[in-house]
Amino acid sequence: MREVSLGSLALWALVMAYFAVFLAYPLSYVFYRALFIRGAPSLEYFAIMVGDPVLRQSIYNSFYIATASTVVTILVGYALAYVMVRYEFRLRGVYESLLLIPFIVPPFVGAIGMLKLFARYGSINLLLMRLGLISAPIDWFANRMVGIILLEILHLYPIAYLNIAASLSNIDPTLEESAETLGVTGLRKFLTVTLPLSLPGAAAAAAIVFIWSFTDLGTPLMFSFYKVVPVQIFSMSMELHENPMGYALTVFVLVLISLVFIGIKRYTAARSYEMLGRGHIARKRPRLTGPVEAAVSTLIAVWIAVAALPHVSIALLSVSGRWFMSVLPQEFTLKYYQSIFTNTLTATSIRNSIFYSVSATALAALIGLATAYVASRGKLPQPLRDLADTVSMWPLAIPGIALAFGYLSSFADVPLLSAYRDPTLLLIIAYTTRRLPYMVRSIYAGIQQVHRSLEEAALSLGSKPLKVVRDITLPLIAANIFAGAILVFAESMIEVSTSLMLALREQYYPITKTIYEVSTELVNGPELASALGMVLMLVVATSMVLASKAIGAKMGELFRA
Amino acid sequence: MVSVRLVNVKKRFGKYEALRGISIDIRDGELFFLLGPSGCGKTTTLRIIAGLYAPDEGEVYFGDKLVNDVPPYRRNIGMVFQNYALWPHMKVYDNVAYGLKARGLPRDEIDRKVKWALDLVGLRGMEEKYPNQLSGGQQQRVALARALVVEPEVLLLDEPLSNLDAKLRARMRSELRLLQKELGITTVYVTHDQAEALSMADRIAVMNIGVVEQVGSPREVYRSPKTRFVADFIGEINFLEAHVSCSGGVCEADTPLGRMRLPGGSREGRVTVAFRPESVRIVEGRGLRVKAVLYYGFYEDVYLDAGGVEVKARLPAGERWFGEGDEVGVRVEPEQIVVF
Repeated sequence: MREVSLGSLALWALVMAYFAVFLAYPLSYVFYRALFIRGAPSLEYFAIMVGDPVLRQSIYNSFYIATASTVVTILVGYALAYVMVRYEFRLRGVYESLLLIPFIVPPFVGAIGMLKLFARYGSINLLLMRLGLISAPIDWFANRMVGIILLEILHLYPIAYLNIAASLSNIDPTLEESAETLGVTGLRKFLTVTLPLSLPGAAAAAAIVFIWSFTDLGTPLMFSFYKVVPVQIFSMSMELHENPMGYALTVFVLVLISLVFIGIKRYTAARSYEMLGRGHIARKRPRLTGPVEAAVSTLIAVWIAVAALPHVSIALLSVSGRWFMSVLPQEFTLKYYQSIFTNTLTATSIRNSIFYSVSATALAALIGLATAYVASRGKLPQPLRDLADTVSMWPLAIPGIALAFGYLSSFADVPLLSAYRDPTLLLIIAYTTRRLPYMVRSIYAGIQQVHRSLEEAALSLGSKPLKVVRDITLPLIAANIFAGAILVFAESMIEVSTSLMLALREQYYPITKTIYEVSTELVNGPELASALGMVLMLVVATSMVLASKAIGAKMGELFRA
Repeated sequence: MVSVRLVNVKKRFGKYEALRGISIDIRDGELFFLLGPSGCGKTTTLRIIAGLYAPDEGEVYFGDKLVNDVPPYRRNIGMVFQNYALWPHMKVYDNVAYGLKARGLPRDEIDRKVKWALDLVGLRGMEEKYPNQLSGGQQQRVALARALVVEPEVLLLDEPLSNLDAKLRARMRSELRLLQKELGITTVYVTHDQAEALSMADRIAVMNIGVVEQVGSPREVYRSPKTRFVADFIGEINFLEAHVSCSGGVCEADTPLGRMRLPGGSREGRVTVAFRPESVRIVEGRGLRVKAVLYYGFYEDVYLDAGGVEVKARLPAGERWFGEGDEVGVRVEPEQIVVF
């Protein structure tokens, strides 16, 4: 009975109002401030942007970092996906989950450890010198962009791997088999059949990686590398009243991202092949043997070890009592773990983070439930339901720096929402908005699995619609709500960009901002920051395990494009 | 119990006209079938009776009461869905008790009625099981018990047997009919399976692309189909193009099989004559060649070629005296012939 119901319409209006106030309005405000000077349309700020050498250099650097990160990430991701999907070999099952781990911790935490490892007299140089491979220490991050790119790659390759693996396993095996029956094999078959069919997945992954690395604020900050777009926006956000260039730069980022997404959408739409007969013939996964198996297995193990470096390094740093001019720490201690709970700044930030994240999770559950329900079951015209669904996915495409900049500026004078007075509510809403897509997707998937006749049966037996939701729908999607909630909670705990930009006073700092602030303190700063980082990793790892238990599926599927 | 009346009900989904104005009278206590191919509108009709769809035009009456604006939860119906729609998070007991709880009945009465319903469908002792621990047949019975336990005024069944295997389906036909007669609940039963409809129904509405083609008892729709569609959809039938001429109250048709006597009062001119394979008697004669004989155990189908036109005959096994390739003649009694 898809007639329009007032209840559905009210719920829809409520959902849309949230997105209007906390998504459309702040971004429109930024556009307005960037494109209008004293009420008149003007492109003057953009002229200044192009003319200013620092900004020009920043834009160039950001493109450089994003492009390099994307190219390497896609190559690595493709290679990993190809062998993982197509072949059977020792430890493949173990690698399947290990390969995903780096994605769950933001790279900026790892940067602290990497700076230590790759320092002039850091572990790497000392090790290489002791092995006699080099005679003088190498200045690895002489170009700090190399360090940033390395961290982006190590953080983002799982996205490429997941997307490409998905599109590779979607290829109907008979398509390649028919090439073989025609005598085309090996590299030629790969180049003419396999590669073209898997390109849409790779392109989607490339878009995500590019945008992610272009807009990452935390990592360049940790490397004290300020001539990149996100850091420029960050510093301009602190001088909103004197310097309007932040609006222009944010608009630049948003337009760039739109162009990337439109381009990718056009590209993949033209190449979305219907895979006929998929599932009828199972792909045989040939087993690698002998030296090839050993080589593949070892290479992946080495890659995983390299990807683990940032995490291992901060784990070491967090327990190092003394670590000077040696490969490994000379003394171990747990005192930093003690002090993060006693030190006022760190202890407050832990409390803050938990409060913000729990609140954001609750809010996201409410709005996510409303959105998913309206989109899938609402008694509304299809276009209205689609609109709610589409709009709720937008935050995925909007970088944290842009959202935070919009929030900071547009709500500056709004009571309760002004970050300059008390950012608590604003941070909660920022976390909620950023991670809402995960919640909506998770619940939406759950509702889709609840066959409509289950609800109709209850209606036919005399239950009113609201009671049907409570008795039938909600219990059946409880696991999905839980999984979504866990994800929102974990992602909020490790949220970097909005945390850095919106929490302006120490008493409101969440953990991530405290990590950034503490890491620059000379005495034991990195160690304290690392201990905090380890707490975050623990929270995230536990959450991921819980969430995947709850929905019994691979978490990775939620991160696919 | 009530009668159910649909008056000129229309329903469209976007551009698609699912029901083009149907009127049906379902009598109190009747086992009434909506029969037709997929897409004919039978499920839409059932869901309009349930209140899950609202008709765009027309009226739906339960007894004398217009129920167009009564939501499903106030119609006092019981519905069995094609996929049973058992709630996977509730035990059998809670599934069956749900409608009683929604009606706010006291606990001991709920208990008594659930036991009664489970007894009725032969599932006592299964109260504590979850739906996924039951076989398909048992799930079907739970769905039935859940619909019956609320003592509905109208019972709605949407292809309730289509997910069962052939043997169980055959057994459930007689069980369901027996149960319906015992309880006397007005029942609307949707199916695309003509054997199910013919064997179980008091009356059948045969539907085709949004209209009711014929309403009648199983015997009526089988023996005297009103339209070519009904004749074709129910059972098997031979169609022959013919030319009819009558003289002195006696009508004869010129067909590819030769001249055939028709029932009196037939229309003259170009017509289609139709007759069931079992009405065909094969006699010694000429003009038809036996193309193929297919053996089905208790009967045989004989495919005859009449100068390029195929005619099918069905005879009890063991009555055949000819073989493939032989030349034979046929005879069909006039009262077995329908003219369109």
